[in-house]
Amino acid sequence: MSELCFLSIAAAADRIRAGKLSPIELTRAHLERIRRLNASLRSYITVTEEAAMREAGEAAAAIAAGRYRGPLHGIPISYKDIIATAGVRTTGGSRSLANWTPTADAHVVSRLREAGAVMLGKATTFEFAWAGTSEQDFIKPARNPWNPKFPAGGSSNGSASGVAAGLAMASIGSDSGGSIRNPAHLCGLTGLKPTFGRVGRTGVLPLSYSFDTVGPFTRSAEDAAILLQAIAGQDPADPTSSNRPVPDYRAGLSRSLQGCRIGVLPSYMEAVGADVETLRAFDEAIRVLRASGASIREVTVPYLHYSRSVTWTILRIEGFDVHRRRIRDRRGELSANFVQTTVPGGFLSADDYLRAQKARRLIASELAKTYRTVDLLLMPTNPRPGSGANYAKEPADPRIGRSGEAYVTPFNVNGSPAVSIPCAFTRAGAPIGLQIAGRPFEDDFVLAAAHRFQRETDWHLRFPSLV
Amino acid sequence: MPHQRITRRAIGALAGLCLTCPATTAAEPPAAVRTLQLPPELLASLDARVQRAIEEASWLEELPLDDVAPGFLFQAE
Repeated sequence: MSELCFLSIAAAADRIRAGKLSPIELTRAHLERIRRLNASLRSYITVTEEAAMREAGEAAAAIAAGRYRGPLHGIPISYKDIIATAGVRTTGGSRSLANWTPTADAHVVSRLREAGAVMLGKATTFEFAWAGTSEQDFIKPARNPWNPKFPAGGSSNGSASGVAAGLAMASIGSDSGGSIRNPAHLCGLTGLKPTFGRVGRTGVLPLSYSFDTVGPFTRSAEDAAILLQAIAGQDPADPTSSNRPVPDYRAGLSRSLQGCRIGVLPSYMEAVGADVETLRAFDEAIRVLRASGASIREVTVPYLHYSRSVTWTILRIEGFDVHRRRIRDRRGELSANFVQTTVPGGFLSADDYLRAQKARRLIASELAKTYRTVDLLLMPTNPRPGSGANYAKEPADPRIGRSGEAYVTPFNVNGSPAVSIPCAFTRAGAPIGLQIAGRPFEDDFVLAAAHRFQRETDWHLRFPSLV
Repeated sequence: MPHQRITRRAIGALAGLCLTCPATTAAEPPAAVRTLQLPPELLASLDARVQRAIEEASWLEELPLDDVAPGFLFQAE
C-alpha cells in the first residue's frame, strides 16, 4: 500500500483515468499511513478521515460515470492549517483558534474541490505562519521524515513533512518569506512560490498583505504544474489577485532550455556564504542545466543584500497590524514566541514602512533590469542543510545575516515565481534545495527548468525510509 | 524622520539600561503598542527584539530612495 503513497500525481492520475486505480484505494492507503506515522511526525493537526473517504467515494463514482474532471480528480492532498475549510476546524496553529470552524472554503480550497481533489486534513504550521513553535506550545512542530533530528522548517512544516513522508500526494502552503521553499529544501520536495497575485488568498489567515503567497508542495515540477493549473487565476475577493490569463503550465513543461540564459550571482553567494556540500551540489546543478542547453551567466544585482531587511521590516509592521487585536484580547491563548515576535513591529513607524516599500520597489527594479540579460536566476534555497552547516566563510555584512532567508527573500521582495527542488543530499542524509526564479508571471518557465532538471536527475525520486 | 529615529534610539538605549534595574520599567512604547496593555515586564523582555527590528529597518536609510515610489504591485516591471 505504501507504494501508492509515493506515486507522483501524474502517474496516479493516469492510473485513475484508465480505471486501474480507485481514488478510494489511494485515499485509504494514505489514511492508513497517516494513522501509522502522524503521531511521530506530527504532520497533521486535523485528519478528516470520514470526509476524505466520502470525497474519494464521490470521485470514484463520478469517474466511473464518465465525469472525469482532470488530473487532480481523486488525488488526496492536505492544506496548511491557516487555510479555511468549511466545516473543518482551522486553527492557524494557535490555541486562540482551537475551536474555529469556518463556514466557507478558502478560494484555493474551492478551486481544488472543483478539480476533484480529496482533502486528507489540515497540516501543521507555525502559529499563524509566523512564529516558530516549540515542544511546549499548543501545536508542536512537525518532524522531518528524513531524520527527526533535522528541522522540517517553517512555517509550512506540516505540509512539507507530510508530502515527504507519503502522508499526502501534495499540500497547499504559503510563503511570505520562504515558508514554502525552505521546508521544501529541508524535506527534499518541490516547493513553488508562485508569482504574487497569481493565486487568490481569500480565506487564508493573513500575515502580510503584501507578501503572503499561496503555493503547492509536491514531489515533482510536473505535479506542481498540475496543482498550479488548478489554483491559478483571479480571485474576485482578493484585490491583489491578477486577472492575467493563465497559461497551460503542464504543456509548458516541454519548453526546451536551448538558448535559455540562466543567471548566477557569485558575488552575492560569496557574501552570503553556504555550506560546502551545498556549494558542491550547486556547482553540479549548474553542470546539469548547462548540459541541458542553458547558458550560464554571472550577474550582479545592486542592493540585493537589503532584501532581508526589506522583508522583515514589512513583515513585522504588517504582521503587527494583522494580529494586534488578537494580542490585546487573547494574549493568554498565544505562545510567548508569537507575542515576542509580533509586538516589535509596533515599534516601527510609517516612515519605516514607506522606506521599506520604496526599497522593495528599488530592488524589484534592479531584478527587472537583470532579467533583460537572463531568463532565470539560480541560487541555493538555503545556505544550511538540515544536517548542519560547514560554512566556507563568515559573512561580512550583517545586513545579509546568515539565516535561511538570504536566498529566498529576494523573490518575496519582487514577488516573482521561485521554486525549490532537491539537487543533492548531504553525507548525513539531509536534502539540499536548488532555487530557480524567473520573471513575474513566468511561473511556466520556472517550472519548465525545474522539470528539465528532474528529467536529468533522480533526487526528487528518493523517499525517506520510514517504518 | 531623523529626529524620531534619534528619539527612538535614545528610548531604546534607556530601555536597555532599565533592564539592568529591576525596579524600573522600560521606556514608554509607541501608542500602537500601548493599546495592547502589555505588562511592563513583558515589554522590557522585548527590548533586544525591538532594537533589532529598529536597527534592521534603519539600514534601509542607506538606499537611494528619493525618487522611488513605494509599492509592491510590480506587474509593470
